[in-house]
Amino acid sequence: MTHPYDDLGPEAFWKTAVAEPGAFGLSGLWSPKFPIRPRHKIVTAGSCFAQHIGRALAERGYGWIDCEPAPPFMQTEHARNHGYGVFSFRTGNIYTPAMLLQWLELAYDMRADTGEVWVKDGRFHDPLRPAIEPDGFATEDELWDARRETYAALRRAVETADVFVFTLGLTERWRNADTGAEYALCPGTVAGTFDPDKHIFVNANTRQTQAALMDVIRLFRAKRPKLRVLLTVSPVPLTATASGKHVLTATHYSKSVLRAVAGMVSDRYGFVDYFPSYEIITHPVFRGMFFAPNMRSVVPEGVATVMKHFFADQIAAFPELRELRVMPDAAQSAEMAEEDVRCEEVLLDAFAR
Amino acid sequence: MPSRAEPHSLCIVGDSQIGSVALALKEGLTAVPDGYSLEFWGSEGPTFRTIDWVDGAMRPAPAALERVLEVNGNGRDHVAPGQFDTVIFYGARLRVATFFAQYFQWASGRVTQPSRSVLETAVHDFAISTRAYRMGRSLAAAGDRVFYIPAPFSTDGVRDLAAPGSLYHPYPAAFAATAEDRAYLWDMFEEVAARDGMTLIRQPEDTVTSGILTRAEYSCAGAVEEDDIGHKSPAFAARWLEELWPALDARARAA
Repeated sequence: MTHPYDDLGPEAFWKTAVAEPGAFGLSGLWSPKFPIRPRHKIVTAGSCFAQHIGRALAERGYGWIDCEPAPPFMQTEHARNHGYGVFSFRTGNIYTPAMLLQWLELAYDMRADTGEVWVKDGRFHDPLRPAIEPDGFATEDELWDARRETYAALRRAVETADVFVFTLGLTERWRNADTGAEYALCPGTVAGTFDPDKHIFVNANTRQTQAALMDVIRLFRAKRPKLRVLLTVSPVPLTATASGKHVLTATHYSKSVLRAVAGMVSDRYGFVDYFPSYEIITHPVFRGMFFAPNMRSVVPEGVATVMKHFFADQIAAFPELRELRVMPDAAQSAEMAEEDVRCEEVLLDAFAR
Repeated sequence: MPSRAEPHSLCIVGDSQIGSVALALKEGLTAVPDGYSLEFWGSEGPTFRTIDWVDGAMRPAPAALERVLEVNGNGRDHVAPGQFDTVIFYGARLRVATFFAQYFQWASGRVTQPSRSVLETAVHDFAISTRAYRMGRSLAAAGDRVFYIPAPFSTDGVRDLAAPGSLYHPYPAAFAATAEDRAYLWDMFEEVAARDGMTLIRQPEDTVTSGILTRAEYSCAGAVEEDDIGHKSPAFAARWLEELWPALDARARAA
């Protein structure tokens, strides 16, 4: 008599899928539901790790779109310090589905701005992204102008993207008990003043996390019915926990919730997929080799390995992608030194002695 | 070698754009203010780019030395801090039009202006990428008075600069820029230069047309035949220098 395990492929068995190939022989970790082609417009948002995915896609000529680009000629490092080119819009890190939902609802006028501004040393900081201007905004007007710009960029992103990549980072978050505003960081850390009566710690469980993520996805599809969603979970541990638990166990709780929710939601919808970057970085089969000595930061080799699996699994599922070449970066626009053509004679005429 | 600075000695440093300045003075379209002496120092674009800050002074590469000496006429093979009361960079590869065009295009896709900090950073990053600007900053840091007159906007009427494949085809919004739009960026360029110890003199508004172009009447001789959108007439140089001379007096050092 046969049983369900008889017909399974080698990927279903630990011995053949993991133990024998070892860390560098792993393959088929992901069975993508839909192809991601260079021509697709890809939007990235989420926690720190999402930055790596966006950058890796762009470097390979994929259509990562920057809906809120830096001004021309701003050096890359300066632009990134100001939150440009990090994600597809200038939100800074969006650690939780609740925070993403808040950004989207604000962008679509489904939620009112609270008007809250943090002031530090005479400069103004945005509670939703307190570090986006390293020295703060010069005026409140600047802050709200920048917010409106990001709302517009968010709407553009949602309404033009083919794939929205969202990296879930945390379950722990801080919110304002009076206004319901979700903060990116605990008030009082980078800016703002912590008020224990007003600032409430929330460690979202699976139900709360799933509810927020489902709301996000419903909103996505309402605005862009063809939008596909690729979920990932950041492998980067918590910097600190306010849960009262040890930061290691708090990290595992947080990541377990996020991983579970990502799986639940992607299993539910054909247009939502989950890519296992979290497992590639954190699984014991890799023996922690992708973490820096602080056991928190992910080293470049880890990102490269994640992206290697990403592209390999895409090609395995959609072989036609193999034929697609990496496109070179758009030519840098540079003004031609047109007057050089005859500048010598101009000078000779002027300075003939 | 030339002696140390006279109290009101001027040096105009630049690329081929300084040719129009020399002609403007020769033709009597403008005059150096009384009490000032003037030297030119520089070379045409390709060799001007070889001039670098070496051993505390601006020095040309050997291949450019002959032309620099020819332009200067006083045997000055380098310009070091303290040699002149005032150094004026003219043209000198600081192509602000490049920034203007791309900025206006970028801004046309936005609903608001960026923060002051963001714009200031972008403008400074652009300016500092020009070697001559960095040399000016070094002179200023050493105590020289430094003015910077950037490269003028391209000349209108020579060819269609909005046509496909042309210089500003990717930046159609630039042609719609208003005087107010330009002033916004000029203000920032002036502030950034001031932060680096220099006084930047903006292109006179009455010489500007079509957003980011210089009026056709200021084209250099033979501009259409030579397809030259860069060089300008002596009258143009004279017009811009008229903005400089009062600034010299305003900031003149005590002798």
